[in-house]
Amino acid sequence: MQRFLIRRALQTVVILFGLSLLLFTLLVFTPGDPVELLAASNPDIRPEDIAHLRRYYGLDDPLHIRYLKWLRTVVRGDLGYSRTYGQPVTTIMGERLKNTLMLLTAAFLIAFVVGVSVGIYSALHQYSPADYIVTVLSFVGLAMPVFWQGILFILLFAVWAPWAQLPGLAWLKLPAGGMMTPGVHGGVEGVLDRLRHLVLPTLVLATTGMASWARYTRSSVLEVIRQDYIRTARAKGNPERVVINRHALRNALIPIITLVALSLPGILDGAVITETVFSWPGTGLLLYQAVLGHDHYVAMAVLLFLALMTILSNLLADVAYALVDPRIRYD
Amino acid sequence: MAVIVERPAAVVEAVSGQGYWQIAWRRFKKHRVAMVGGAVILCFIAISILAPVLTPYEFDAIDLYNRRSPPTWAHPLGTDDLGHDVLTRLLYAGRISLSVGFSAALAAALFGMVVGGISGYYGGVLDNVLMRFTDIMFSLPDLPILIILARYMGGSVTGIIIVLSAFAWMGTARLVRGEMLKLRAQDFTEAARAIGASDARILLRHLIPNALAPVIVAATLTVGGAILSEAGLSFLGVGIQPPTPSWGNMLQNAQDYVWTTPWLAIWPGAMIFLTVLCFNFLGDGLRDALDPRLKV
Repeated sequence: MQRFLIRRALQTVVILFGLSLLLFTLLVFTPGDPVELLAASNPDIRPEDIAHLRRYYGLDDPLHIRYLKWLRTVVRGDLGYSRTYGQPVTTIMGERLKNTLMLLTAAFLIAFVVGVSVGIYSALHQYSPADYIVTVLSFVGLAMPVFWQGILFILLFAVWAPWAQLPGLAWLKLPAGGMMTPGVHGGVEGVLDRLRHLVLPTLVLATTGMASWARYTRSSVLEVIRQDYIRTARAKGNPERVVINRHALRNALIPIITLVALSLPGILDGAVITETVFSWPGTGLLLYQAVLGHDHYVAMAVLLFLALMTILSNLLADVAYALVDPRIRYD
Repeated sequence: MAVIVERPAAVVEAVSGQGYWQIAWRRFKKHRVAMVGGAVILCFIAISILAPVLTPYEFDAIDLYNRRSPPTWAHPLGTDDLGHDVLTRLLYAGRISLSVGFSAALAAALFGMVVGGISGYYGGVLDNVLMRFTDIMFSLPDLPILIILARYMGGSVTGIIIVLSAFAWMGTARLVRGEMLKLRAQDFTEAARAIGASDARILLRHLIPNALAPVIVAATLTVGGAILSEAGLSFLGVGIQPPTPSWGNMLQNAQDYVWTTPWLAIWPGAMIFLTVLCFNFLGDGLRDALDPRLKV
């Protein structure tokens, strides 16, 4: 296991390095650059100013020089300087990461708890009306485009929200985006305000995971409860509760753990779109704005963060698999 | 969907002397949800092809006196911020979105078959290299990289297809490799080799056709996935660029007017949702029909 982990760690470094080179090249060669954007917004700009700015930002250097310059600062733990925000990238990332992690954790917990328990219930009551509803809803959830669901939720819960007319329910009209209401900070009121902002993006981001985990849990549980050892457990006279909890679910959840770790990258992808729809100031929205605004250092920082998270969740899937199933061994 | 294998029927099928595809078609017909899914998809394809006949407007005809109009007799789904007829754009966008989905899935399936086929058939170092490459591609965060690539490609339809298929072939490659390993060891492959068939002939004539069922299922599900990805990229503004309509960029445009003209956001999203849902149903039905033991 130790050797396996060391090998994977080395692999991760190599992949990140290769990926950074590829992405850097693509970003540099994407048509349009920040100085052009700047020049377009200022009709009085002189050609020598443009030339000066290009030199100042090092835009005229050949690609490999620019890459090596960037790499040298990154190795020192400095992610560069954002041209649009006028701040070091590390400062911006710190703030944005906190927000993204808040959204991701909330969505993950909801998706996992609801998805898995609904899946188990649905398997234990196969062909019941509840099972039928779960199956239909999980198909709907899997086909639902994240951005459309976001817009529909904004329309329903933030724009229309007919129930908010009822006395005492006005707070159920949820905010359409952002992370807090301007002017509300601190104390209980501040926390509640944040939570209200968190509800819609969390639900939207959790949908895909919920649907796919419910579906997989259902089929996994169904497969396990047909096994001989479950029949044996019943034959021994165990109460149904013990048969299900101790024998069936424990085995049924092994593949689910791997699946959950493997679908974490999908949730990260979803976060980029969810944050854009709800203007949630996280890394996803940052990436989107950085790519559109040619803010290369910011884009690189977010991209490599996302790549690292993706690779780590794949590793987590492998490790978790070995931990929960003693039959699995890595050399 | 539950997989119900009816034993007696299987026996009847075996003795009736029908070919594999006939049996599969019979099984598929019993899968009602998949039949509906397939029918809806055919219908969407038909109305996108017939778009010029079905609507009197051009998809890029600007009518500045008639912007963001609510549904009327002349414009059943209203008009957008430039006075485009929304129904017209929806039909033409279907052409783009569906062809992007189909082409990306087809390209990904072909590439996956080549990689998986070579990997599984030849084994050894080549297999190792190709599978490590597949692992790496699997472990990359697709959406962020797709955003960069799509922007680099400048939003052309071909560019989007290339970019999407570049990140969709890995599942097929693994499936095909697995099938190859299984089939390679079987007697009919030995027999073909014994009578002097070339590698290419064994691969193309004997192995690939036998590994086709899971590829078809995976490709069907990929069409839905590719349509979702294209819509996501276009929604973020790096996919298909207006005035060429796609369901994703119509939705992006609609988002700006959600507060005043919410109906603009309903239709493109509904089309994406229904199309993807139908492809998922179709894929499920095909899986049950082509190979009931299969789990993709």
